[in-house]
Amino acid sequence: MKHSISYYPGTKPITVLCLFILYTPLIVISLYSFNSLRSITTWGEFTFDWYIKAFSNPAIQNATMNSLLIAVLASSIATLIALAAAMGMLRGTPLKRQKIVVGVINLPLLLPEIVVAVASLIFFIAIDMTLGLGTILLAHIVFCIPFAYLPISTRLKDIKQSFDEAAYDLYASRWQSFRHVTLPMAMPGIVSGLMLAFVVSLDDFIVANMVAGPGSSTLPMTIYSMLRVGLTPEINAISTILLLVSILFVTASWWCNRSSKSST
Amino acid sequence: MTTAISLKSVTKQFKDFQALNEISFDIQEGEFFTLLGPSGCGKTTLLRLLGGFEQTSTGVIELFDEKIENLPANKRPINTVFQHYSLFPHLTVHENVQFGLKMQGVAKAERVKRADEMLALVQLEKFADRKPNQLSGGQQQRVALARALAPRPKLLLLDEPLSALDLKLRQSMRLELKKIQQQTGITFVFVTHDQEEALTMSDRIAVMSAGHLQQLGTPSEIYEEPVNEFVADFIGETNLLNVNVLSKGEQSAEVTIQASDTEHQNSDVIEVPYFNRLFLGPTAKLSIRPERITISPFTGETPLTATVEQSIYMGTDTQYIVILNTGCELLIRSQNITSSKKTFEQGDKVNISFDLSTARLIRG
Repeated sequence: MKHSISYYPGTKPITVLCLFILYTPLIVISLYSFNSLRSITTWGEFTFDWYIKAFSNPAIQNATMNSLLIAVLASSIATLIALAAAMGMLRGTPLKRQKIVVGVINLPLLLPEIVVAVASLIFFIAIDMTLGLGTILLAHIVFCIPFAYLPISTRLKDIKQSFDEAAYDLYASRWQSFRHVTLPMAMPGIVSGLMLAFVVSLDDFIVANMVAGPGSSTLPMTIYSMLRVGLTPEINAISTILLLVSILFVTASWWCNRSSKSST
Repeated sequence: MTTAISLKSVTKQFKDFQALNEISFDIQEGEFFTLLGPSGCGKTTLLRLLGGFEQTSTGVIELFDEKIENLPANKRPINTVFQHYSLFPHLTVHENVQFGLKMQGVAKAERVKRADEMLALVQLEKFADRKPNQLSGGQQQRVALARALAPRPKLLLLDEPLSALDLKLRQSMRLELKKIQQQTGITFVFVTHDQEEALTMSDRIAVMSAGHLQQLGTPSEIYEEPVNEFVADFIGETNLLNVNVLSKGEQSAEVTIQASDTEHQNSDVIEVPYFNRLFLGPTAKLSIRPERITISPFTGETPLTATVEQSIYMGTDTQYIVILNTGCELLIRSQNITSSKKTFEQGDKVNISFDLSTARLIRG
């Protein structure tokens, strides 16, 4: 028997409390990024000054470029690898220990980030790699793969193998069948995975902070180091933008997968 | 006539299941050939072997005298209309129809022209720019047909293409499929479990059961001269009476109808035609189609008298279930030629007769 969740006493206040604790700080930060005063308790008047200031700060400019560069590269490469993995897992002859292989692909989702960060750092030092953007990129590619893999494999599972058969029947080679049938049909999942991976890379602090070298700060790292000097409305502004970008991408990713569901 | 496809002792063994057992037959060029059988009889497996989606275990498949059993699907000049159509949802109707030609490397202008022709053939010119999910089931079916015909295959395979359509549409598509087959002259191999579909469309039918070919022949041969009990029972409806074969001549045999119990003994000898091997003794069955039996008011003791058990009015005809004086049950279908025609009610005593030349002796 199914109950509406409002059947259970206390559902409403608990829900409201959770939402309040989760989102109030974000809303406060976003609102006060438009405050002309430095204070976070008193409202002066509405202004875009802090945004302008943040954008003209060379440290933030530099960090934004680094973050975007890494996010674009890491998410693209991770998506390519994830697509290849998903095709192998779902379209190839099943491997002997398929479940274990899929588990390994998705492992970064379960491992504590700090463990990944420390392990990556030790590894990079052990193989004598210069810490910098390169090491951040490598680490990001690795932990972005499962985020790209999940929507892609979900989508591929929904595409019936009979489409492949239809393509072969109509003289397509395996590559043509992939290129003209599987790939376009899987595209919503691929775009969705790409965007998730992009956001995850853009927002990462722990791993980047650990494996970055001098002068290769990403945006979250820069925000963190600015915080140590003191909270400024500039940070509010830049955080608000990061927040918006993340919400936008996650929503778009969800939307992609949703609209593709209705077409199959 | 040239042989389009020739199967020689084709066998398909799945892990612990023999799907096809030594299947051999030829299909002529330009024929509408149907593989008919209940689900699990191997007809779809056979179609998949022809299409190249499965590999034969043993045996040879020849397409116009060329061995093809080892060619992959994309190297065989054979196209398929799939059961669920499998139209590419991301392509328009026109692009779907062009797909095979594009993969073959046909130039764009030629491709577009051929696709236009095919869409005209299935009367869907107006829908060229739609996506498949904007079409009805019947329209999708036609697109699938146009897509499979566009590359001008040497053989077209159709895997129960009408099963997803409703009855009215199915009936009109039967005629249309047949018409398109005749217009294009392409050899069709059609798979179905629907005997009515098979009878109305086919030039020849292969009846299959449990991985074996049971009978191959024209629709009327299959219906009129079934070789065994399975075919007689599967194609149309029939009454099967146990008979005792007393003697046999060149084309006919003398038999007595066996009673279901001892108190109904009937030793009248009747002579009926047969078409295949027959053994003496209580080894055969007499197949009589329900529409070939005449039911008339009781006038006296003739060889076959019966009592009406059930009478069902069905519009075009009335169906009776009667119990013969030998104790066996018989299904009779009597056409309602006039509206005032007298029908029989439950419990009525009636005389039964049938033209012996329409009855068939088959091995039990």
